[in-house]
Amino acid sequence: MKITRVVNVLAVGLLIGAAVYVYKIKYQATWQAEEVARLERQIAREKTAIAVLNAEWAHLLRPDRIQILTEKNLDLKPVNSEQRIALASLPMRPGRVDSIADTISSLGLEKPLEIEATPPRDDAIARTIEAMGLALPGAGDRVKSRMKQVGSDGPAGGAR
Amino acid sequence: MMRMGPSSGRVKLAMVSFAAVYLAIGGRLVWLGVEPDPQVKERIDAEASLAMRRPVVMDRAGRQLATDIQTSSIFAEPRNMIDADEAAELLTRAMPGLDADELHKRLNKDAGFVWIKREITPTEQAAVHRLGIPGVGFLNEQRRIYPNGPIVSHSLGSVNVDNQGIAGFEQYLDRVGQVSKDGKGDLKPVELALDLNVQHAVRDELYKGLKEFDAIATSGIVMDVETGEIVAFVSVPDYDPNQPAEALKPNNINRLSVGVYEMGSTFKALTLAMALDSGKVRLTDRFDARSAMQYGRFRIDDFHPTRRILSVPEVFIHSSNIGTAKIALAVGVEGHKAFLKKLGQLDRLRTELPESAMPIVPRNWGELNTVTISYGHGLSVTPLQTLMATAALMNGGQMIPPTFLKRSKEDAAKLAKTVIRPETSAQMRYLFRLNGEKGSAKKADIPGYRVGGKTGTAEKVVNGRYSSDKVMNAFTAVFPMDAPRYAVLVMFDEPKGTKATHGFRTSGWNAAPVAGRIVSRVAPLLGLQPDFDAPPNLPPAQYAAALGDPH
Repeated sequence: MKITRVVNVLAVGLLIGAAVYVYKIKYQATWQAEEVARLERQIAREKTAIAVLNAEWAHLLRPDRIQILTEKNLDLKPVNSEQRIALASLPMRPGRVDSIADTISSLGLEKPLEIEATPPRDDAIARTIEAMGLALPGAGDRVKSRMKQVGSDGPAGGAR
Repeated sequence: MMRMGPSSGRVKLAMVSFAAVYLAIGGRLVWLGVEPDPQVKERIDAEASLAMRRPVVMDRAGRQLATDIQTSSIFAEPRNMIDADEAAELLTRAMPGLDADELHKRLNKDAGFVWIKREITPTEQAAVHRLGIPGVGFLNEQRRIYPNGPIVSHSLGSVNVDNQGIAGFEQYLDRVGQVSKDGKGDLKPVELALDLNVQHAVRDELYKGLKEFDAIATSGIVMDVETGEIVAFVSVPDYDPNQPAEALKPNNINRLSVGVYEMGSTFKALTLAMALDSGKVRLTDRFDARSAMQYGRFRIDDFHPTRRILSVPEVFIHSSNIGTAKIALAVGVEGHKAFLKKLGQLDRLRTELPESAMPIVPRNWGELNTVTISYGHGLSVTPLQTLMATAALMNGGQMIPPTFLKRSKEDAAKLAKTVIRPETSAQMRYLFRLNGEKGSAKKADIPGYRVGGKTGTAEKVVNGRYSSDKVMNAFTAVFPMDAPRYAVLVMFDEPKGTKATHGFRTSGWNAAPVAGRIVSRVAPLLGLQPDFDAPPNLPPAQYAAALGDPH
């Protein structure tokens, strides 16, 4: 008799436990389902927003608008074919030559002479050219040869 | 055993009446399911028509050309309305664009469902929402947007208010089922062969040309000669596909695949290719162009008469009608017809676009027809058709049907049809480049890009006879000529002479320079490097000695 009562109480307890548990699971599942639905709605909303933003982006990037903006705001012109060159066909930049140092060494004047003189005037243009690495090596030679050329047949050049 | 008594009859009555009620409800449900209430049905239909979603259309670099965005539409259910007149008044106040009388009429109808306004703006929606009129509601729908406006118009086509394609590529999408009718599922974006930047460059130059030469219309195509992909497709004047009604204006037609024209001297390229390929004419043959040809009552003469005996290359670069006619006659009428048939000039050319036109072919094709068609009169074809044939003459003799969709070289090779021998193609390339260097296509020759081409000036038919001052100019160009990659076609309808062209209105003075400007703008976009060390243009080896320098 006692055993049956214990079993009954246990069974009732289990039943209540199971019911609570099932209710909890059911509630969670519903909640999750709602959450999924909410997220799906949100994704759909985001997708719609992305589509609108993409369309706006494309509208802002349309080439006719860019062309009008560049014509108005930039001092650039379209590149013509002669201004284009393949990277591979660019010549290598020549190694830098310090012509003054060469001259000094060729004169055997490595040791600086002590010369009393006013410091040279600051030549801004020359400095810029030097800084840009545009000083041509042996420019002096070229000038010399050109002078010679002009000297030899300069005035008579037209008679050639 | 149940006790039978006076209540048993009442119980039975109750059971029967309950059963009757439930049966009635059930029956009504089935009935509704089979044939819904007209009011509900109208709304369901409206919702279904709104559900249609279309894929994003992109250019070959992934730039958006067409996309769906969500908008709302307002509808009303007049039967559920309390005061239709007040509602109409409030609605017209919120949306001033509405026609008040029309709205009054519509809301006073005994209807279950009427549209008030389709595709409203968010502000309008908020305003109407705030009014809180009973019997008025919103439905979400997809609206097709073309962010680039008129830059891409004829090729894309347009959709109607229910998002169904009604023209151009949009209609193709409906036909092949690349749309989602119920609005479900993810649609893959569709990539076109078109390049938005190239398209814009072509359109920009054409509009400038239209203004400069005071023409009534102009059009241009850029096509990949190896794959048949159409990279740019512009017919000016064009329209904004966001306002599809504009497409219906007669002057806005798609001139490239719907218009058929006598292509003029650009057709000489086809004639020469035919003759050279048949073996009946060789590059070194000479033709007498000293005097005009009399053909019955027709007199065939040259526009720039040379009055001497011309070699085949000279016939081409001087664009001699007499020479071309004699070359065509050397092949004969049947051969001519068969060749043009093979090049697709006598049949309707179909692309993805639903718009296509049938060429106008003479019914009784005699010798005179062959003579005139040899230099592009008497046969009207679409410009796209001619460009397809020209590309085949340049790319080694493979004719590839043009397409608006992306296509690989392998797929193109599967579709290709050999129309001329590779040797003939080499000779044609020589002739095209020669014309670019020394002939009428000089103004299209952009340094470094080795442009070759053929000009054509066709007199327009006005009141049944050829007019000498209204012309239709065409120019087909191909570049770079030593290894052709792209074919360009430019057309001008009734260009006028200007001071800069010394009053000339022939193709070499308008279509050719515009094509040149197009080449110089699009070649860098297409990834082509100018090459100033390209080998000189020489005739194919076996003719070199005989031809020498044609000048």
